[in-house]
Amino acid sequence: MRPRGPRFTALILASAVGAALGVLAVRPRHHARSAAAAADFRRRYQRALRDPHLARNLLAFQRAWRPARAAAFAQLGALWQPTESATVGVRAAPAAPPDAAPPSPDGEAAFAALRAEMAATKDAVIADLPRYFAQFRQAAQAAGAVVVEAADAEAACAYVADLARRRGARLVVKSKSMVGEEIELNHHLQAHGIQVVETDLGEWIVQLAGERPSHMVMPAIHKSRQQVGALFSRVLSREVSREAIPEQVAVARAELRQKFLAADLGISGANALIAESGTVMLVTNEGNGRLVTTLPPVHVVLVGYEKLVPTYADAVRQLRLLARSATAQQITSYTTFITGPDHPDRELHIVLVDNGRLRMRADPVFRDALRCIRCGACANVCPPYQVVGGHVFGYVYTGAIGLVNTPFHHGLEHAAGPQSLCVSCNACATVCPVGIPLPQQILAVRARAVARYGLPVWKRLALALWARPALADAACRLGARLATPLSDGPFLRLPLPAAWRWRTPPALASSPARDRLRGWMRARQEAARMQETAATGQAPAQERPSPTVACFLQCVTDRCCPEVALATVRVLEACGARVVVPERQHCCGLPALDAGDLPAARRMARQTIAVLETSDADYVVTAAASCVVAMRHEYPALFDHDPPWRRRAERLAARVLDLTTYLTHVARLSDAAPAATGAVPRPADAPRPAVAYHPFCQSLNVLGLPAEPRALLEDALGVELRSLPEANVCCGFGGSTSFDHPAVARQIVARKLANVMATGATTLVTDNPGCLLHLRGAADAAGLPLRVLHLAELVTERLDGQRATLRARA
Amino acid sequence: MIAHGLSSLAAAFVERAASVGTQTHPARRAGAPRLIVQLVAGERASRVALDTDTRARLPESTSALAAARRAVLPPDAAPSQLADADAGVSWAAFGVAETGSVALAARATSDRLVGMLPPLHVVLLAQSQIVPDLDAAAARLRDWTAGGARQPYVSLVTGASRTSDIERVLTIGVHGPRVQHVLLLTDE
Repeated sequence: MRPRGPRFTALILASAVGAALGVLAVRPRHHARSAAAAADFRRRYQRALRDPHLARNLLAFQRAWRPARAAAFAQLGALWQPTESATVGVRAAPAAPPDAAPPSPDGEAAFAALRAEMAATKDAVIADLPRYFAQFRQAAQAAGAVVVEAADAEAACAYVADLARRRGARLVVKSKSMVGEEIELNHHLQAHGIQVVETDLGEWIVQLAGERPSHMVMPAIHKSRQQVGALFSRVLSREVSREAIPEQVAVARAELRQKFLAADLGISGANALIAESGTVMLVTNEGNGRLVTTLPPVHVVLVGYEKLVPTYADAVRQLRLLARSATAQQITSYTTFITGPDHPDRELHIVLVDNGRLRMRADPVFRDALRCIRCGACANVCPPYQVVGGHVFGYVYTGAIGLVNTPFHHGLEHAAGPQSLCVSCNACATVCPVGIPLPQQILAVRARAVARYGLPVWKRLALALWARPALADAACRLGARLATPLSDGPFLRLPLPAAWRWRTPPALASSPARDRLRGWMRARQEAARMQETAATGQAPAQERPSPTVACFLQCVTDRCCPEVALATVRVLEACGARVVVPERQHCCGLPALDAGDLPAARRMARQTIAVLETSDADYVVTAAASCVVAMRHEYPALFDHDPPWRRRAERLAARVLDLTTYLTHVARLSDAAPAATGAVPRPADAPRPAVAYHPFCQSLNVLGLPAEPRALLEDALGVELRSLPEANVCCGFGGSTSFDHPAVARQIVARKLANVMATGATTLVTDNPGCLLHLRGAADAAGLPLRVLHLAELVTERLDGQRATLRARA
Repeated sequence: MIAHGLSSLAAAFVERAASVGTQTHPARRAGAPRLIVQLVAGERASRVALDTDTRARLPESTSALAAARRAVLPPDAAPSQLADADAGVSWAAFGVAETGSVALAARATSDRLVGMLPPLHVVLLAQSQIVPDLDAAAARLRDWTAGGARQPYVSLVTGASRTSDIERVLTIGVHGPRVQHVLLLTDE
């Protein structure tokens, strides 16, 4: 599109005002309940950000958990071998394996295999739930247990309260039960004059503090030892150490021992219900679970239907995954199998709670979430969880799964705030031991929340503008012109409020990449025509026909860092590709998809598909890995109910590649490259810059790219690669999340930049423009001596020594 | 540490048990009572509770403890008495080499509490009763159910009671034993 005159701009802006008024006229529906939930969320959010200990405690926790989990699965990987029946078998003795035995797969392979098996088992149960429940009930009843179903929280609470009343129970001891939290049983029983004491240490701490668990496995992980010591001292009215954790644990032992001995009724959860035998499986480490289920004469199990498994064999498979995923153990200290009461005088009641689970089962988007075994791993790798904790990132259930199941158990209004924190980094999906598609489900929750409550005004306006290519173009050009006095190289120096000063915003380019490439394209086409004329009558003697590549500029790259688009084109050419830049490119729709505005996302996706179809290039390559993820992994679902567009989307998905993959697998730069392609020579005497590489999280977690394209960087480009700690943790950009929650994004990027600076690297390279601008802006705002480059820029920089050669060749 | 007479399964069991802090002591049956006394004395435990199976299968342990001036709790001790015991001795139904776990399957409440309340727990495990892995353990649990020999309450116990609920710092000995020993009976 050519630059237009002022009259055209005025016309465009007038229509923009009109469109904005139209957007504003559509008011979201307001509900009293959702307003209260939103206010409650904001309170929790502000409280979490004010807590000086929270983020530090959780950072230490997350840093320790990942390697511990990896070691736990590596231990399994060393023992693991496929058996004849294709199930998992574990060699008992570490004896020398016979020669024919396959090499032991590593820990992640063992994890993947076990995860696939467990997911299949859970899916079979969910599909055939009534039958497995009937089998369980029959076996449990035959063993003397009472099995009851509760439709909702109220029914479950009423059953337990009534039972307690009938047995004259005054004191109840509880072992950890997330269902108990879900139905808020403690409040209910206390309202009936029954004292309830949590006996899991973490649960007891949060009960004494009047809080909810902030993590499904480690309820008090948000608290420091100093906070626990102060809490115990206050509640017990005697001094308890603020430093010595063993002393704090001993206090819990002594205090709770009396409760166990005096209790009239014990309540536990269940980690699995074994259908073949009517058995309740319960895992604990502290030993409280066995005391709760042994000392009081009446034992009540609170459990959701999703805990059903067919057999003991399935239950132990779950154990292998659960202990490693939850606490990085090979097995918990106590794994208890309870089949009926142990004596005719004693009672066992098993309460199966629905409370939205059957609705979840009927919903094809969310059904897989019923596979959850409540390990908490999704929280342990979640960057925003680290900053705000589970009281904010979740509701009663915390972490990624909490964003997904809260709408069913507690209502969409309670998920609306927490889901807005998700940065879509997909880390949760990589560690979920039952393969729940959490990122997709969170986006679906977001879309439902947006459909019901609407988007904030600024976001609605921005998306309405962005969904109209001509308007967006005019606005960007006008914005660039207006902001020229404030532009300083790639940055915009705005007098921002303090809360926004942690990231210098990028300047809008006065001349976007599309303009700069237009002349270049014409020259290329001219040269190609001349070559064709000259070659008439001669058979081309090419050994390897050069691929044609359509370059997708990507909207942010085009407008905010056009040099990345130019570098991409140059790199592709240097690698021997014939590059075309289709006209009228705009935005793939990711911002709308990310915001939960599916209609706008579809609109932009259609526009992008149509524009890219104008070229019959072999590949569509872009420097924006995020858009590759959108085109390949989100488009098909976006057009689920529109088969013609779905087919067109699939055709695009089949030929779209991110730059790293193109350079590695098509141009094969990393193999032996400079010589092989003759294109990207490595200057032998050039200095080797010290580079840290930050992979875009979806490159890693969705596209499956390596955390460091080592061969590409070291062998082909000759840089000195510094290993980046926590390379697989998101930078905190997260699409619009960093605009919705700047205080959270700020802490995530600080974690990233601290890791980068610790490597001593002077250049940080990444593969996605979102990360690039975010990291570049944050590094600038912090005054760090760090250059932040896109991979394409690094390649061209390494090319510069050979510029003359290339020019001669062109 | 690994004595003669250990099967390869037992050796694997010893290694895995050690990884969770459980000390395993291979012993012949005849030497077991003396070893129990040593372990109890080592922890300065004066009141000792034995479960029914231990009393029945290794009656010499009672007399050995008495001879060493340890108070042996009566078989039907109340929970409050067991809560005051310094040590408990249990007989395991089987062991699991994969995890170093022992399966405790006593039916009576008082027998179970022997392994839950005292700070020191000594477990007697016959070497012949070690199964290779959790799958084999699952098969045995299923066979009990299917065979009508219902075991209402079975725990796989792996190491001492532990928590990492405060700052994810591992602390041993919360509500259950702080120290666990396994006597591996090589001739049982």
